[in-house]
Amino acid sequence: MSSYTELSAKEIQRAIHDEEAFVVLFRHYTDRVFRFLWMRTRNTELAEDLTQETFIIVMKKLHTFTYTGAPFSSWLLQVALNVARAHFRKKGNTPTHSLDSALQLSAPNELVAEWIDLYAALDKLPEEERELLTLKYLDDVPVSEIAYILNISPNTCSVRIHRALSHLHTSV
Amino acid sequence: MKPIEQRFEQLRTALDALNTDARRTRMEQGIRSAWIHTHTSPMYTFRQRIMRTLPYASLSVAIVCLAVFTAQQTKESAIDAEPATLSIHADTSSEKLEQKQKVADYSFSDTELSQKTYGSRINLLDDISIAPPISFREDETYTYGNNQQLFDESVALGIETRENILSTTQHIRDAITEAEGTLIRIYGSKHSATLQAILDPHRLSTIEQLLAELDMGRTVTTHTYSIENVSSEVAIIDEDIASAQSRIDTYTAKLNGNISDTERKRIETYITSAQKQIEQYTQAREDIIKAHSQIRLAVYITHYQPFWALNYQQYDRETYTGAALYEVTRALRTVTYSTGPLLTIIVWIAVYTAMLTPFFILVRFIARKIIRYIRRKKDTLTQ
Repeated sequence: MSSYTELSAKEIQRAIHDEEAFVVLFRHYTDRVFRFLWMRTRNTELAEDLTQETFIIVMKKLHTFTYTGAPFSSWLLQVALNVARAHFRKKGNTPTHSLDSALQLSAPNELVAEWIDLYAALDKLPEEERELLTLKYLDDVPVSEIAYILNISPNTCSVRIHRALSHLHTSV
Repeated sequence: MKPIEQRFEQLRTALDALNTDARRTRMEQGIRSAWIHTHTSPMYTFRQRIMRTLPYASLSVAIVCLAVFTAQQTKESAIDAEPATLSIHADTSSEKLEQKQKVADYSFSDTELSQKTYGSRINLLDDISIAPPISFREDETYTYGNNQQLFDESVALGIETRENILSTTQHIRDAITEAEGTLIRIYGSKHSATLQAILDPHRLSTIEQLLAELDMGRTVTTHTYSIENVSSEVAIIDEDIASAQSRIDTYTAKLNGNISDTERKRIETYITSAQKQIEQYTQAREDIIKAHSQIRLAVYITHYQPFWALNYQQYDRETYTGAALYEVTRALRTVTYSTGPLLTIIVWIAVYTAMLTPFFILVRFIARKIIRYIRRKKDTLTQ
């Protein structure tokens, strides 16, 4: 179950024309977007740039968002995912190596070692499974939203997450 | 070893710590400056406004234009609804005198044409073309001379045009003259005209081509078409000629015999009379052949009248569609006559709004679906 709250449709609607309302939206979702992009870039500076780029795109395209039942964050993370993919397609960069990126975090050595293992195991998985586990456990996105972001059915999504988790257990 | 979920949880917490307040503030400043740049750009705001208002503005303008145009058309048709004042009679034209009078007794069926068969309009011509029973008499002669045949042909064609009736008629007259045909009669009004002529059957296709060009739908409606074998008319005359010739031969043989002067004179009178008869028969035979070697043509020209012309008499109340159009048109005509032009325009605006708004909503709905689908596809391709 996700611990994050969503802004109301009215607040989102107001953010189309009101700068302060948009800043409220930005503050509300920035951590999620930043973490989401960090996990894909494994580079703090690049994640910051892409987070900013994501919100600028959202600023321009917010009027096209129509509430269809899925939370706003699904749409937002979908934009962020497209921004990250577009970046890697344009620049041709690959995410920073798992070991380096893990070391960027200021944490006890014991934890860092575990995370290095986790990264290594994640990197061994196919891209689709890595994406699913990242969304589920690191981005803390509910299954229904993951299904929306990846354009698959919720049932399929659950089955694939379960399968990916089994593969990760094996790897670790 | 900690469970994987727990490791993920710890990593997530650590990642959240990465996004420091300083970083947030820096990003927020970037967002604010981007907001100012984006929302104060005249092109952006203009485009935004245009994109939002254009569909509604277009619809409103279209409805008002349609309403004004229709009101204007309705007004004109109300004037047109007065008794016809225009009448064309070829009998009085000078051109008629220039044309050679070939056959005097050509007569057309007394058909009153009004409309081409569009929708459920009344078409009197549909009722007159009753097919004769398929039968023939065994004693009837269908050939003459050396197995030759003679036919009596007639055709009635119809066109509907947006052009002026008078100019359309003039075009057809010129074409008939060019095809060496003979114009018999033209009569009509502002909304319709009938043209009757005779011409060589081989030149009919030329006239048909012209009619197709003049018709608003580039098609010619064939209302009636008949071909009848009239060889017997010539065959009877041939028999009469043969009979007269036979009598001449008999009398000529008698003249060679031993007969009195009185008898000779009587026989010579008979022979002269029979020879005159043969001459008359031969002349009549030639006239008949000549007359039937041409086709009789009737062209019905109708001026197109749209729905808003409010000529409700044109609809056939026997059919459901015709009855509905009749009532609606009649009601609108009543409104037109009983109210002023402004109210008429308002009524038409209301009518068009009721007609076009559901269509507009549907188009907008479909357009949004398509745009969303294209975006999805684009995103999928990007991924």
